Amino acid sequence: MADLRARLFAPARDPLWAALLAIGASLLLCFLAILATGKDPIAGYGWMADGALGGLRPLGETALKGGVLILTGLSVAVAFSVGLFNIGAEGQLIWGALAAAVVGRALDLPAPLLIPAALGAAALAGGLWALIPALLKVGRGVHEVISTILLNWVAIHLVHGWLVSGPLAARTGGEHVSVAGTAPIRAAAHLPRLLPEGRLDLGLPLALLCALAVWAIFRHARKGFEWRAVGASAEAARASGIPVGRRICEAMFLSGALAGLAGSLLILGTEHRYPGVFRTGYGFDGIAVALVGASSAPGVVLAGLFFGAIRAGATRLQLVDIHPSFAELIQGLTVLLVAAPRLFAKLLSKLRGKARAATETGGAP
Amino acid sequence: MTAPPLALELSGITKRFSGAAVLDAVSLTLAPGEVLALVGENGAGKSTLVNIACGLYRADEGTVRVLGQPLPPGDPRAAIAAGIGVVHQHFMLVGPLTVWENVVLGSEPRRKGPLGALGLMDRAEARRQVADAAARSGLALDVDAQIESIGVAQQQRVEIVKQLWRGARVLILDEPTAVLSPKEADELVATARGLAASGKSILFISHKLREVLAVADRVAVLRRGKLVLEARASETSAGALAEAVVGQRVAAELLTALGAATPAVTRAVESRPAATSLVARDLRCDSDRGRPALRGLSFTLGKGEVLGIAGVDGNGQTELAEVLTGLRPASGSVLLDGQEGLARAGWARTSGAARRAGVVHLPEDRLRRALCLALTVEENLALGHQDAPPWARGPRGALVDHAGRRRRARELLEAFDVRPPDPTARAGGLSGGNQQKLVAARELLGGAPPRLVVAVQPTRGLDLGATRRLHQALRTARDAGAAVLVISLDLDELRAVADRILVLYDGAAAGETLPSATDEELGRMLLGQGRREAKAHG
Repeated sequence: MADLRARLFAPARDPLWAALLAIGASLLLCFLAILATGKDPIAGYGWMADGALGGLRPLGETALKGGVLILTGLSVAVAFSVGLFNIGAEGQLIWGALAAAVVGRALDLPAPLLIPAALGAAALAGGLWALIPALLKVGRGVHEVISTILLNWVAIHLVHGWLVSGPLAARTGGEHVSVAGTAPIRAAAHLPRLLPEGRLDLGLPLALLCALAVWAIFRHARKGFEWRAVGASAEAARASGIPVGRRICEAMFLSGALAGLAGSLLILGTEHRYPGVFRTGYGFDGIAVALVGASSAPGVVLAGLFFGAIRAGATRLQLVDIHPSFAELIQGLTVLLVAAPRLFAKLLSKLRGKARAATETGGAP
Repeated sequence: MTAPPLALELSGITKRFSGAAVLDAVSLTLAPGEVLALVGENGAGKSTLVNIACGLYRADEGTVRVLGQPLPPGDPRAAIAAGIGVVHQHFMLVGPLTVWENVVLGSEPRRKGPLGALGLMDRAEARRQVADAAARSGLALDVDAQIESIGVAQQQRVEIVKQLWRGARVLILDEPTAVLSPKEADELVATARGLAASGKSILFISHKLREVLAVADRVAVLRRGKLVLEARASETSAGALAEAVVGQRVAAELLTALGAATPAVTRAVESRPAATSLVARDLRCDSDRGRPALRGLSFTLGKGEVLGIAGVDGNGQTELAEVLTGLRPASGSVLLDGQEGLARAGWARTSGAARRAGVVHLPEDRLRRALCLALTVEENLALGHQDAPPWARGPRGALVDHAGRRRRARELLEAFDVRPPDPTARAGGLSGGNQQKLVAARELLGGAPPRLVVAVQPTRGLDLGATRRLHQALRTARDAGAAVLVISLDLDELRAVADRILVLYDGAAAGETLPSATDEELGRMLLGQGRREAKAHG
């Protein structure tokens, strides 16, 4: 597992080129796939580009989704710095979203206080949820991939199956409403919109600020260096006096906090309440963003915006009768193509070596 | 020309890595029944030459012939089929399996008939063949023992038998004695001579000139990729070899340090322990497997003193180093300058506390425990004091001081002659010897002057120059007032660097002696006889 993970995240010789090549190739492959279904890929791509980049409103949509993806991508990247593979961003995002919805409803404060309070509550909720797998790892050696995947389901069922359809569900006039979900948040908790048209809100600047902070931690903070040392070799870090368990918990808390923030952007920015079912997939897509972005803050920003554009443009595919899941195909192929060269590098070089040996030695006995 | 073909013939081998010639037109021959020793510094090209001979690398120029047949380049399977067998420094054995299972692993004899066609192995036949191979080569081995339960020397024999069973005619032993105690090394030398007498050819790679002279018919010296000396062992001397290896006149001190000359007491500064620094009393702890590793060990170590810890591997040395560096819980008492380490919040309770108390550690397993291979050289140099200037700045060292770190890293790389001296290179890309120099530079010079140095096998895998430099650095730390503990399996090393030698046997002190003690005296203690005598007297 550790080997697989190391290879998945090992910085390619030039991660930027690797990512760009992968993106280009996956666009091409998806183009061919659409063609194979007998649809018109040129029109499809045209509409997708229009939906993602054609004007202020589409650009705002791209940036909005990009902001959320940047945060979940950062979440995965931060966990990976201490060598942990956080598959649990989805669950942490759900708790963050719920906390933002609750605080945004409960507190009667002016916007400059209420928004930070809701964001802070979201970060805290996501961080605490991520602390569970960290403590299990440090104390009991439970593998974080297992625990974070399982905790996703715990979060989903606790929140959707119980909290927002039970104790936290909105009630109107003493009657249980048929639709689950919390009551709307206060208007003061709404994230300010930044553009005259479209839905772009404060989320993207906030995400970029977080990316800058993560970059500074990795590059300039001693703690970030210690995280990376733990990730590179926990044994060597321990021998050099670094409290490994504490560092793992810190990084996982930050990882969960970032995912929680991502959830709060969705609530405070667009949903304005915690809906009855809230399965966005942003948490899982964060893994893809971190992989394509080579786990670096600038890479995550670029990858997040790219996947945001794909998400924003996807719905337009239906206009030319192409299923929107083709957009997910692009995303999946990109991850595969970024990760595959690292996964299969050994195999490829072996095959190449064999081919060369065969041609060079010819028919030698 | 009816002479029998040479067992191994390397002609005009040149190999370049990114333009730089690592091997420059090296030609070597090895006759059947001959032992050729290959000597050279870290980075001289020994490993590259071995890797070309066994087909792992392909040479840019030159050819390899085995028993007269040219070897297809870059084809390890062809090399094995031609009869080349390599015993690497790091053994490739499966712990839970038995000796014979490890030997046949990968090419198990099949059962006859349809069951064999299905892939079932003929266990009885396999076991018999392995026992035969071991007996024929004169290697005493319990073929039914589990690999985990036997010692390093035995495991090495398993590797040798594995190669012989697979039909190796040319055995390449890559620094085979680095992991062995002196007595075991002597046995290995005898084994190698025996194998040569039975017609095998042996390429023996080593840093230790004395054993090279004992084992080899001929000696070849590589320096910076070139063959600089080739001589019959009977016609050369340790001095001539050492000179060829480092390329300059080497001081008598260096030869002493390597145990090549008689270990006359030539230390320039006789150390004078000023005061007792470390007092260990009745130390007890368990090994990773839960067996008692230290059983009531007591000793003292003065300020400005080097205490050598000798012992056959597995007598508690590893655990002792871990206890003193805060990596392993123990009971008993360790006082460092009067402060109790094993008390609540004591300095030996966590590795962080030990660091803060001034304990530095050159661990045995440097790849796993000393280095973050994926990080850069300068980042690795910062480890352990990353919160102190010049490595960090700001309140409580919260920020990485990039400029200060780069500057200090360059100084340290130069002081220890780490090659390449590039602070931004990945630590994993350095050769083993240079990695150890990196660790030594960091531990001894990277932070505040150490109060206690715990060095385990500090020069294992190091070349002559680096060994000298490391011993010098340990003495410098001692002269600056540090208490230095050197744990080594290499008695010559302990004689060269230690002021006193404490012998560990079965987790306790078997005796204490001066570096001038004879092999016999030390040998008795290593086997625990000194202790029994002491008990008998007491």
